[in-house]
Amino acid sequence: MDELVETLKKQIIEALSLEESTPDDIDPAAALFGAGLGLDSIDALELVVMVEKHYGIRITELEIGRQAFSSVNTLADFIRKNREPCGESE
Amino acid sequence: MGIVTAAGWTPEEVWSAIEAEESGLGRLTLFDSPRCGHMPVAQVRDDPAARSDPAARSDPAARSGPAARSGLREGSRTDHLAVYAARRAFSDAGLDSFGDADRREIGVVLGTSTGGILDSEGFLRRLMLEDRLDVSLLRFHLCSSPANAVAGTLGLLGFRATVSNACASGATAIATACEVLESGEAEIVLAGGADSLARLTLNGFCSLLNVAPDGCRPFDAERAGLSLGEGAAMVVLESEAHARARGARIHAYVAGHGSTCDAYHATAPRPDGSRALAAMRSALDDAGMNPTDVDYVNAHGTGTVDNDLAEARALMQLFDGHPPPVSSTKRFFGHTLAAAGAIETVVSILALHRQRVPANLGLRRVDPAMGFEPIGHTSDGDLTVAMTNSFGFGGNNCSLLVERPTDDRGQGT
Amino acid sequence: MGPSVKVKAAVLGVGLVLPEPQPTMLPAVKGAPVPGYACSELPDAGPVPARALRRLGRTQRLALGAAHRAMEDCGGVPDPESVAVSLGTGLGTLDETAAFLENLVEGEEREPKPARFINSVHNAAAAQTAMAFGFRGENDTFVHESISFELALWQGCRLIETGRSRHVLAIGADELNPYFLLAGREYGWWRKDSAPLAPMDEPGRQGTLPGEGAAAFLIGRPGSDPEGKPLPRIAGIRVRPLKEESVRNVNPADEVEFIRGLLADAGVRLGHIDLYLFGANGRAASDAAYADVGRALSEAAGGGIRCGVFKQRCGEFCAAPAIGLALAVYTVRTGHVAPEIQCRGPDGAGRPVSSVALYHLHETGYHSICLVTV
Repeated sequence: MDELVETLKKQIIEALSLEESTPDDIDPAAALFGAGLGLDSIDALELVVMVEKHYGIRITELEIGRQAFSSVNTLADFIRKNREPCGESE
Repeated sequence: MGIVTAAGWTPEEVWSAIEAEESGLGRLTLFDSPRCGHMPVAQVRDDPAARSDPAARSDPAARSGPAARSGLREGSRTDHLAVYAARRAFSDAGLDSFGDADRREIGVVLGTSTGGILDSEGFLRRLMLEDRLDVSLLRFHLCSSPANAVAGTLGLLGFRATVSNACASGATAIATACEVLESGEAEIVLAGGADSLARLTLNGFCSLLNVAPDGCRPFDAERAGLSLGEGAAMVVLESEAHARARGARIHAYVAGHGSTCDAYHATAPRPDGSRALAAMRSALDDAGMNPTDVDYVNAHGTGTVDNDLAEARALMQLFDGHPPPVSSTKRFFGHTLAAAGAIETVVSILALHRQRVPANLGLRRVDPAMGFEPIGHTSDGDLTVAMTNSFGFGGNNCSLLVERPTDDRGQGT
Repeated sequence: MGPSVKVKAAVLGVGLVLPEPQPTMLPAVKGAPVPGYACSELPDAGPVPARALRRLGRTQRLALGAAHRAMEDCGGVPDPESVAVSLGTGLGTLDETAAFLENLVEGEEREPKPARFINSVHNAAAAQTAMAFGFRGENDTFVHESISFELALWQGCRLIETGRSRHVLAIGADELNPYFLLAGREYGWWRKDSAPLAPMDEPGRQGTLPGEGAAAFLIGRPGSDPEGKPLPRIAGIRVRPLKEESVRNVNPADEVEFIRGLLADAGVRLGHIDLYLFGANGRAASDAAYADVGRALSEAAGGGIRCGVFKQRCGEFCAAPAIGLALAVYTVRTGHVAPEIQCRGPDGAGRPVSSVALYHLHETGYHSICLVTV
């Protein structure tokens, strides 16, 4: 079990107030937007804030966000590649 | 007409900036913003001419910003901007000589999106950070405050309304004022828009990731978003019969207006531009005109990826692939939100008077997806009719057509 | 009312969202709680999916609820994409604005909440309504304190009259908000106990109570009646600033002229109105002013007028005139005074009520008159 993926699922649920969802409901490989969890562009902006809050990574362009948020797995990869050591912001 | 922007405190100053192709964008000094303070904004700077103003001399703390220039005893920054522009328009229209009884019949229709929120932010900070309650800071909070300040300053008791249609508000206010005149509710209406910079809007737009770190570049291939601005513009609208009867000088005619809603997304425009197109068509129908009658389009052109593309699609469809000269003037004044539609109406009228098309400032290389080339430099034009478009959050689309008086239609200018 | 009445628009559907009839104590941001009329549940928002609903502000939810009920009431329209929306709200989506700003202050701008910002634009309710129902016509939001709804109604009628729109959904909506409660308490607007209001009935009591709610009206061209039952009509709407600075200084004769003027434009006389519905809210100066106007109207009409009040049912808030209009429309539809209205004055001897004049004398310095007939 990938700890980061599991943590991300919980953080996504909290950030977007998805009261009816549990971490088990979210397939980490499935699309987050459009199909799958059915999130939209406003949810994407909330996730940008969530990523900065928990991992110190500041996304400044929508396009970067769009790619990173394709699925929980891609988001985990993005965070592993970009996070600051010790989670401090730039 | 009356206008105040980061690029000038009078129509003449604003036009000089357009001729000099000088942007009003600069550093934010109005308040601190740890997250967004580095973004260039079009902040209304102190008016150098006002250093001779008795109010500024007697109270150095008032300096020469909107609070000193408006003649309003107290109000929010937005109230001061609105009153300043309204008083200039009122004088320009020759209404200063109107007595109380005549002033009481004059209406006010004003657009604002945040009103006095800057003061309300102060209330909240005091409450949350110092645990102090100061409700006096809320007294300018309501959106009606600028319209009331204008009416109160000038003694106007006719039909009064505040519209809040996000970025289309200024244009909607002018369109609504036309309806007020046509319905007979008033013979003269002051109409326009006002908005000040605020933490709410600066942080809000930044959180949407559509503010450009190097300033807006409408229709550019590398456009990265909008630049916020502040300001106000007011016009005096009057029925033609009434204006002629008192020998008023007519700057321009509002020939038509059209409004629609995208009903698509809370912030993003409908990508095909179809409802924006419908608003423009509706304005042309209202004016009894064809697309070929339009000599210049002052675009909404905020510089965001989505708006400019949708708008371009609408323009290309309306004009069958061959639009007249098009420019967005947003890099001069920033995106002044509710004031934008009114500021751009005044700029369009100035363009008609001077027979010059304002530059689409900030353009380096047009995005090929636009399908047309905006006017890169302020240049000559043969202009009788201008179209000005405003497209707001929530999908509000408003298109106005202004027409220059010609010999066969009233005084020449 | 005879066929000679000149009317602006027909009312094809009405949706009403009322708060609980019994006021409750509500928290203000700081200090003592305030009694007010609150909605205990937010209304069903029809076509809006649950996931989208979770993100919307309170005013948006109230407006959507009223819109949904109005569309159900009229049974839908054949061409929703041409429907225009005209909405009046005095406070806008205050809870969303406050939430965004509180978050900025608390977190020193570190974690802004984009969804709250998006909801904080005052036209958010009108925009969401358009999206929910596919209404792509003109869309206007008026935010001018206590006359916001009257302005929205004026705009709606104007769109119908000029032919710019075939149908308009005119909405009034305002939410109760802890900051609004706080401001009112500090400025001395509210009573301290939670007994329901009794406007124009208890001259000793000071203060009014805040409330919340929404009403929506699907209006169309006057000739839109289906076979059989005639539809209620808006025969006129006029809203203006007062010349006087305070309602205490208002001249009742001037108010009678203001009302008479609108009625005359519709071809109706003061004495023909079956019910005058007043926006009295229980505050002493306001109640006294309405009473003076009522007496002057009776005199001018050549006999006692029947008048009613409604804010004892919903409290006082900027868009409350929309509630009054909904009750007026229900009244002329059925011919009986709606149960939410408390009447004062002569009974009308069992005659069906076919005309209601909704009159507001706003303490903020405006007056409005709206005529509903059938």
